[in-house]
Amino acid sequence: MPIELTRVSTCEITPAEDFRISFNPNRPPLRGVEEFGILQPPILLRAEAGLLIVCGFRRVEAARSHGLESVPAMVCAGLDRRQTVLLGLLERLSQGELNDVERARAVEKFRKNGWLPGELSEALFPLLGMKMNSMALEQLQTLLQMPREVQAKVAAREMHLYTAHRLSFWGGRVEQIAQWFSTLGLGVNKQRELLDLMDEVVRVNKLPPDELIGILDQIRCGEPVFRVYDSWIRKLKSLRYPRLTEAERQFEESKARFKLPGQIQLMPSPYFEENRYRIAFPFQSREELERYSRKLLEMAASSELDAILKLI
Amino acid sequence: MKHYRPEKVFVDPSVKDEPITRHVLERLPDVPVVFFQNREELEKLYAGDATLTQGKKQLVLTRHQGRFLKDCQGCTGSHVCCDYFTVTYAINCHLECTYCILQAYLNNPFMRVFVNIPDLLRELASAFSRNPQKVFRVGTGELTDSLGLDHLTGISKWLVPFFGGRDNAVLELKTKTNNIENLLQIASNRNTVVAWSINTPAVSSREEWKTATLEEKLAAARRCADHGYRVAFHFDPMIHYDRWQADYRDLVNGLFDRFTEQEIAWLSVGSLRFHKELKDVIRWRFPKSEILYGEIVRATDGKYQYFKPIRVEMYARMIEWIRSRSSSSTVYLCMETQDVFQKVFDWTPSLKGDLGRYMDERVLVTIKDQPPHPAPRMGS
Repeated sequence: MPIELTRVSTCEITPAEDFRISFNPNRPPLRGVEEFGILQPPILLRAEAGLLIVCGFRRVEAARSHGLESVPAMVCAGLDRRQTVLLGLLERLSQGELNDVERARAVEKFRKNGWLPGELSEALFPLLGMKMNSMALEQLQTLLQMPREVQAKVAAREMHLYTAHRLSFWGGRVEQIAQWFSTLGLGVNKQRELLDLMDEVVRVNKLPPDELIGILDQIRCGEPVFRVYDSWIRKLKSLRYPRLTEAERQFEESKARFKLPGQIQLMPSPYFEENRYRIAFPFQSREELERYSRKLLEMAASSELDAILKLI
Repeated sequence: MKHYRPEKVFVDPSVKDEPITRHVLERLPDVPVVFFQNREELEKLYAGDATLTQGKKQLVLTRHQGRFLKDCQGCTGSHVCCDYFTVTYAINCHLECTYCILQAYLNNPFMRVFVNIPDLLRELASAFSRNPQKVFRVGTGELTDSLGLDHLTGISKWLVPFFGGRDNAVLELKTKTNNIENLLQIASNRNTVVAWSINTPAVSSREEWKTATLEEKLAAARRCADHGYRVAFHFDPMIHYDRWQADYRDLVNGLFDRFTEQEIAWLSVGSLRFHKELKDVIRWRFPKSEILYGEIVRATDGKYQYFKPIRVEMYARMIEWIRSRSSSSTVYLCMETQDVFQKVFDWTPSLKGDLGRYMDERVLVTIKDQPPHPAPRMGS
């Protein structure tokens, strides 16, 4: 594969991004171009439309913005587009692992440049560190349709690919929800928990999505920022798990009637799955132990205990 | 229902002369056959989109290297175990039940059949004779549908006669198909139970793709019972939905309208349960499935299942409906806790031992209670 090092006019280089895989909106602009010019030559492909960039999009952008008329470049000759897109990917990989937006772009560019599904499975996916998996593939494709802010979050690993895909089901509300994630500083696990619950509440209650967004927005407006997430989850769980919520409410009500000191903890198993409660308390003297024991005996004699035992 | 037909058959050369291999290939004369040397080569040969849907269309005939007979792995430490044994002669299932655990469990998507059945029978014979006091209830439907491929493999024609007349072993062929023609061509025996997993038509039509309909399953079961086999039914997984009470009651009544309690070896009741990993797969493969949207919480063993009061209510009503039609049928809960057994049956079996003994005693009585049905003349 002959690659020729030459100087080319920046006017000859087309703005087309047929081979662009890199995506990192948070990367700072290239420095030192004004003083030293472009030190590392971009790789270009000669095509009918002019010179297409294979690698070095930032370098060419920097050259243009600093008014450089020409740059050193490596110009490929005799490569077809299939080979060129592979070259572009290998060059990008030499700089480090791809993020999910770049993986999505790589799949898209390979397809558009003539790679068949079987070839993608055998040649591309191992390079991307993935196995051929149609679920991941659809998630990657969907990512490319998402707003740039969402893509940026995924690229920065501030949002899972899975979450971005779930977010796409919210149509016109995508940007609003993504904005909530940012404002509330929700990490990837909380984003996922929230979106899963929102989806399930809409399905279970046959609620129009906009109505649920309205409910959540109302909560958001009425709560300090640090409480919004917990209030949302509480509300969503009450809609998603009505019987469990009712059991938890009954438990808390009955427990309150025992007037147990704060040091005595009375706990059901998660989701009341086990048929027993646990009680725990710290003590450091005989008197303290006797005091708590008396309180527990009072609880054992109380009719409220039946209500709590019924729950398990 | 439509029986399974692969797009391609991959054959391990070491099993090319096994009778089951020949049997399968004779039944698929116009399906391409590829010989492979090892798994890596197999995966390379099949370089297409290795999704579950595509993978199921590739039938792999190979040799099982380890033990066939194993303790059932269904129950974790917190569930009551029924001391069941499993035999794995095939892995994967061409049916498409939305809730199927295999979707998230298998490490490759092909339909695999282990055709060294003579090795399997030798292993079973040795295990049964070394433990004459032990009762072996053996199921073949853990990682596959017991009869799903039987029109191609004919494995039932090997297994059923092998179990016949044994004092301490019972075979359960568990299916969601009506693929019973082979069973009707051989002599039935009291050691073979043909079992169906059944659900309400509403659940079945929404969540069990490619399976036989309820009507087809019951018709097949009737033919098996008429042929002298004992039959069994698994109401599993029960799904909680708006009309569940009316629908499951109808299901139980419909069953007892067609079968006497003497014809039924056992009935089991269980409810939807799944691993976390399966949730994403279901959402992906079956976006219209309603199965994830019940009041499902995480249980002590990490699996997801209905909130306990819902499970107890469903089981209790089922047992009530079953008992209203049959006071003495053998009924048990599958993969449930002692607490739930207590609430439903007013009986707390030990985690291991009690339920197994209860089942064994009932099985032993019925193994010997009737003479086997004679084999029909071929072609009759």
